[in-house]
Amino acid sequence: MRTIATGCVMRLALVAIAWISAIGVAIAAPTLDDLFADNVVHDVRLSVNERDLRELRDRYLENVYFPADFEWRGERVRNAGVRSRGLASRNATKLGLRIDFNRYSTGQRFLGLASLVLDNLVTDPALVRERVSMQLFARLGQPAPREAFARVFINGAYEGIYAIVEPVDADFLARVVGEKSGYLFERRFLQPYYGEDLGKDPAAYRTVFEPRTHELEVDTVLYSPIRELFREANQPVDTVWRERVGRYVDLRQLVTHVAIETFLSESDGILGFAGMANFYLYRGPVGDQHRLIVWDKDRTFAAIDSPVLLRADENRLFSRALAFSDLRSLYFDVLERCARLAAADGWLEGEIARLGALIDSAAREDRRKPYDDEVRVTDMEFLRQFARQRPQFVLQDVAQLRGRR
Amino acid sequence: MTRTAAPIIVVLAAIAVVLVTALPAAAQRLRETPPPRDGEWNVRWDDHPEVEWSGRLRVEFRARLQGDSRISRAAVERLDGDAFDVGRRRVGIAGEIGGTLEFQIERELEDSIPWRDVYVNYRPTRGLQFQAGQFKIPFGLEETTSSANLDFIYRSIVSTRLAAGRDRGTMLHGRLASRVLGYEIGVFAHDGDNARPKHAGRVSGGRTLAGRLTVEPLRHSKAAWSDLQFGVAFTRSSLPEGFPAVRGRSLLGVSFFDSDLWVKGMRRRDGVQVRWRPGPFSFASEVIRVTDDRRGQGRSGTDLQPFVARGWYVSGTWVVAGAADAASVGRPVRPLFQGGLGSLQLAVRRERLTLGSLRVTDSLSSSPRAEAVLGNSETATTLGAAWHLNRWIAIEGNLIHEAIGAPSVTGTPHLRIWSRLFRVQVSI
Repeated sequence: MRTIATGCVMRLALVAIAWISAIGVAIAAPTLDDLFADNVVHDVRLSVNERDLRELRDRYLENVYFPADFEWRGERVRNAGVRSRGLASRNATKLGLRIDFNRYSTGQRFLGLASLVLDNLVTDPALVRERVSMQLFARLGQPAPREAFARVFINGAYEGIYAIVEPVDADFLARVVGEKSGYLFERRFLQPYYGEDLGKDPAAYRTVFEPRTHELEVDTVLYSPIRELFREANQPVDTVWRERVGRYVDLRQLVTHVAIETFLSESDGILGFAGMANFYLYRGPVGDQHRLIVWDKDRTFAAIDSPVLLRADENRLFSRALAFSDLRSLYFDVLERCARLAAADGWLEGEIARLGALIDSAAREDRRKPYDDEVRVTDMEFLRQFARQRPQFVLQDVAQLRGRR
Repeated sequence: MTRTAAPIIVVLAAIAVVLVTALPAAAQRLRETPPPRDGEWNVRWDDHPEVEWSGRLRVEFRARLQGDSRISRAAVERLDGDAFDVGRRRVGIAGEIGGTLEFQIERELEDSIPWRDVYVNYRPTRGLQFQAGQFKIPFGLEETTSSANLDFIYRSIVSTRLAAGRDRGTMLHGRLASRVLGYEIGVFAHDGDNARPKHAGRVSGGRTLAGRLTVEPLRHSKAAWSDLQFGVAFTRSSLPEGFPAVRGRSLLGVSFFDSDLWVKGMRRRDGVQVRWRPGPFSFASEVIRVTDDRRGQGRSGTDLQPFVARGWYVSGTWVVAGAADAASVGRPVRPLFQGGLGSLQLAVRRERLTLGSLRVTDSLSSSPRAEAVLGNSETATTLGAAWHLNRWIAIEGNLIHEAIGAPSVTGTPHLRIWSRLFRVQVSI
C-alpha cells in the first residue's frame, strides 16, 4: 500500500516538474526586448556557404545578397539574405552586414523583424559612439533605433564585435510613430547636399533621398513635397517663410534633432562636414510634413570644444530656421538639456564606462577591427574626457550666444 | 498585329499563291522523270527537288519559310505582345552516297546559332548505323520530330525547355527484330542546345551520354494498334557549379521561374514517350524529368536535394478531311487546285511544366541554397487547326491558354494568358 502511494506521489511529482519546465521554456522564449537588452553582449552566428562568403568579401562594395542561416540564442532563421552594407564603413575584412529575413522566404521574420543591421563599428575606435548617441536621442524623446552589442561568428569563426541595429523600416515606424503607411526616405550620399533647391523636377531629389517605402510610386508622388520643402526653404526669410516651410517639415523637431547632434559633436550629421548625412526623412500618409529620424552615429564625439553653431550657416534650411527667435531659443534649450542630462550623476561618462567594460573582452578578441586595441583604449579615455568636459563647454557657449543676442 | 506585319503577310500570301498553283505542276513533271542510267545525271522532284547521279549519288535540296502572327498579352521572347515575324528561313541539303552513306546539312539564314543538322550517317545494315556530327540528341518524341511535321505551331513546353535538342556527337542506332525495336545511344559534347546558356554565368551539362529505346510491339499485326509505339530515353551529363540554364519559360517565353539556385554534380534527364495513330486520329504523350544535383551547395557546404524540372503533355489530333490517316496529313489526297481543298486537321494538347524540389523537407524558399526550392509551374492548353493546302504549304492556327503559378502561393509570379497564333509555312 505504501509502495503504491509512493509511486503515485512520484508520478505526480514528475508531471509537476514537466509542467513547470514547459512553462519555464515558454517564459524563456526570447523577445525583441531580450535582443536589444543593453547589458548583454550577444552571440550571433551566421552560416554562409564558403564560396558565397568569399564572394561577399570580394564584392563588399556591392549590395549583392547571399543566403545565410542566422542564429541567436538557439533561435535559427534559415535562408535569410545577407549583404554588405555601409558607406565609409564598408569593409571586406570586417564585413558590415544587413540581414533580410524575408529576402528569400516571403513573410519570414525574426522576433517580428523583417531585417537587422550588423554594424561593424569600424569607423569608431572606441566602439561605443553609436550606442551612446542613440541612447541620448532616445532620452530626449527622439525616435532612435534600438541597439545591442554582439559577437558575430561566421561559419564558426569570430568576425568581431558588432552592434545589432534595429533598421529604420516599416516595423520601426510602427513602433515609434504608431503607423507605417507613410513615405520613408533614406539620405542617399552620392554627393554633398546642403539643402539647395534642385529645381522643378521632383526626380532630382531621387539622388538625395532614396525611398524605403512606396518604392514603386511615381516620382511626382514621392518627391513633390520634398521638392516643395527645399524650394520654400531657399526663399528669403520673411513673414511667410516659417508657415510655408513648416508645412513640409516639423521645424521644432528638426532643430531638436540638430541640437542633439551638435551636443554630441557629430561631424557627419545634418550639419556634417560633407553636407546633410545620416538621417531618414519620414512623411506620414496624410499631409506633406516631414520629420527626421536619426541614423548612424559612429562619428560623434568629434571634439570637446566644437562650437554649437559650427557649420550652422552652411545648411540652407537650418540656417534660415535659426533666424526665428523661438527656434533659436529652442535650439539652445535642447543643447542645455543635453548638457545637463549628460552631466547629471555623470550619466554620459558612466554609460561610456559601462559599455566599454561590457564589450572589453569581445573587443580585445576582435582581430578584424582596423586598429589595434591600444587605440581603442585611448579613444575610450577621450570619450570619457568628452563626457566630463563637453557639457560645461556647451553650457558656456550657449550662455555666451544667448548673451550676445 | 503590328503595322509592319501587313506587307510581310501580303508577300508571304503571294508566294503561297504562286506555289499553290505553279509548284504542283512543276513537281509533277519532274516526278515523272525516269531514274538515271549509269554515268548520267538526273533531276527529280518528289518531296523535295533532287539531283541523282548513276544511282550512286543523290542530293535533295530543301528550304523552309515560316511566317508567324501572334496576338497575345504575353511578353514573348524577343518581341512583346502582338507581333508578326518571319519565324524561320532555313535551307539545306540531304542525300545519300553509294547507298550506305547518308548526309544532311541544314542552316538557318538568320539565327545566332545558324547551323542545324550537320551530320553523316553510315548505314551498313538497318540494325547497325553510325552517325556523327551535329544532330538532335535522341531524347524526346516531339523534340526529335521535324518542325515541318508538328501538329502545333510550337512544340510543348517540356519539349522546348527540358528535352535536350541538338549537339555535336556520335551515335550508334538501328532497328532490330523486323523494326519492332529501335535503339539509339551516343556521346555528345554537351547536353543539347535547349539547355545551352544564353547568358554568362549559367551552366549546362558537359559531356553527355544519351540513349533511347523504342518498341512497336504490334508493328506486324493488322490491328489498329499496329502503330503503337512506346519509348524510354535518358541523358547523363556532368554539371559544373553554377546557376542552371534550364529555367521556367512559358510557351511564348514569359519567365516564371529563373532557376537562380546553385547546382553541381550530375544532370539526369529521363523521359517516357508513347505515340499511337489509329486511322484519322493520333495520340501522343511524353513525361520528362530533368534532375540537377546540388552537391556541396548548402549554406554549410552540405548536399542539397536536387533541383527538378519535370513536365508532361498529352495531345490528340483528328484528320477531319483530305488525308488517308493522321500520319499522312501533310500529304493531302487531293491538294488545293488539284481537285480538292487539301487536308484539315484539328488538334488539342494539355501540358504542364513544374520546377522546384520534389520533397518539401524544409520551409520553401527562393534562396539559391534552399533545401526546399520555392518553385513554380505552368499549365497550358492548346487548340489547333492545320490546313495543308498541298504537301508544301500549310496554314495553322492555335489558341493557347496558359496558367502560370497559383495565386495562393506568394513569392512567385502567377498569370493567366490567352494567345492566338497563326502560321504560314512553305516547305520544299
